Amino acid sequence: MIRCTNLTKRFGARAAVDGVTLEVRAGQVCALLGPNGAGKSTLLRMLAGLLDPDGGSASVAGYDCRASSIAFRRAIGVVPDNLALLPELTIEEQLMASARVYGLDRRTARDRTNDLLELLELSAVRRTLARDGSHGMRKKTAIALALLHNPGAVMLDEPFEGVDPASAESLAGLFAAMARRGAAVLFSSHMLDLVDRIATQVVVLRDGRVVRNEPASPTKRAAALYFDAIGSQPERDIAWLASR
Amino acid sequence: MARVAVVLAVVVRSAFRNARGIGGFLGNNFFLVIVLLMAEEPTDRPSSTAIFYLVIGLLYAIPLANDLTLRIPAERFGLWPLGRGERALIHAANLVLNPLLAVAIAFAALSRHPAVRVGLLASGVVAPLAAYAFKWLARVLRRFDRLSLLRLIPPFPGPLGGLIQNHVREQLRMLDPYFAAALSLGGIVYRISTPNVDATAGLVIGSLVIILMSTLAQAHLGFDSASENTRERLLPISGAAVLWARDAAWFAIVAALAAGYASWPVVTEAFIALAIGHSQVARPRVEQKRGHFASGALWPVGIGQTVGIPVAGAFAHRFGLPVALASVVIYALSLYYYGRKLRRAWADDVESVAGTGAAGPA
Repeated sequence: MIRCTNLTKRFGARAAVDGVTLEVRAGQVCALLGPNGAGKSTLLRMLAGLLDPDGGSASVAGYDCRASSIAFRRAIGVVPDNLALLPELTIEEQLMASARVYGLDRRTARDRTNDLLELLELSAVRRTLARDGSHGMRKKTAIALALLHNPGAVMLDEPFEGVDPASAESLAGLFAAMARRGAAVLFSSHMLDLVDRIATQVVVLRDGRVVRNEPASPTKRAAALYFDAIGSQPERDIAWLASR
Repeated sequence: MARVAVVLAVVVRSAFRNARGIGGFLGNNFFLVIVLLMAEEPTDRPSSTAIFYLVIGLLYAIPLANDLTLRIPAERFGLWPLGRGERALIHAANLVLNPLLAVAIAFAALSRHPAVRVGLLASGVVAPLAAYAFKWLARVLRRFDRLSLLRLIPPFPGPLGGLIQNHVREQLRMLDPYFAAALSLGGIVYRISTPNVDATAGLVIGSLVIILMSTLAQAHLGFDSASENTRERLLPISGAAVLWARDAAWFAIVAALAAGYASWPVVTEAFIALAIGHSQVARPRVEQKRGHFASGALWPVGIGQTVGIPVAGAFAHRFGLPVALASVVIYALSLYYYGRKLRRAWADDVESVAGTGAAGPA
């Protein structure tokens, strides 16, 4: 379970996350929506123990996020905004190295690495250095790293962005399947059609605050919920751009 | 011409705002050793070793003379509507604007020897050309990246083996190990080719190899991109394990470089270099740039290493194994203490200390 109460983070005078309270139970897939700068990545970083909150409390799988203990880190799978890849290792080496650090024996590490490479269609580029790969490849590698140790709570920062549509579809199915098997999944996204496909709960952030937190409903799509909460931007133009 | 002036203004402004190049040049322990040795030079005439210092100094300083236009992303520079002649003019201006020329002029003004003065000024002019040549060579070598020998480095045994593999490759992207290798090979050639080898020569060369590599030993977190840093913080390992993986990588390289000089003093010096280097982990990191010499904090860590390494080596030379064992204990204590400190620093101010670079709001 992922839970936070009154979670707050300030950068200078500005509150990036302002008293956020939410709960994602085991078996749920929660989509975190909001415009750029709404505080989604900051919230996810705090929940992953990468950023200390200024106020409030947060726990994942029963562990305090602030303590960021070894047991806590074993229990979570994270795709952070910067993907967190090791630059000098190939995609395959990343997965093997990470699996070994999580305590998997060599054979299990090899099997799981192969499974994930195949699932994410990375087999052909397994020997490419992570830093040389395309953005989509690197994103998929980060997702593979988050799932490798089969964590009980998964937090993903924009997992579908930069990934080709077919892979995004297959990833969405994978996250839903993980939740069905008891994992709590929290992800941020701007891809509202995929949110509709897999989310069981939708949270909309604006200026660091939760402005909507509702169970997903087949009658009210994520786009409608989002624009209800945020409002739509008027069409704009600049005179000199319109003339030629 | 106006466009060239605008681009040069941008380049010079960014060069002044980001004076890391000069900091990097001065933050290397071996540079400090060269300065100390130069201070011992006779003042009335240039000694036979002056040219040696000059060449070493020049090699160290070449990265400083890099084309200033590299401060502009290549894609952006390529997109700007500049003609071929304008681009050539901007690159040529680098010969005059590069910070190394200013450093060379300053040193030449301080020097008392006309020969050294001329040498320094010549270095200031030659260095940018050498930097161009290195860049060209690097570009050619990059085409063969798939054949890179670094990729042949296998994972090390144990759960942290993959991390150590990553760190070995990372550290071998810096110039320090190759410079140390040249020194080490030179020493071996000297021992083979000289009939009456000085008994302490091996010890001195071994020490110099450790000092040359010591900046890398304190530059632990400086290699980390925001991405790599986040990964290490997410992994379920202690701060000591994070440091140990880096130390093991450093030790593996040093073991290969100093194999010809293996002795209790050299082993002791290696452990002391790492133990003192750990203290840098809780301070703001000094970012490392691939293809350059490592850059560290000269005070207090760099000075501590430059003094501590030979002192420890001298003690080990005199008292042998007990001092070497003491250095292992000091290393282990330092690993434990600074490992905890690293995790605490990450927890207290995860962004600024560890330099994840993503401190801003999402």
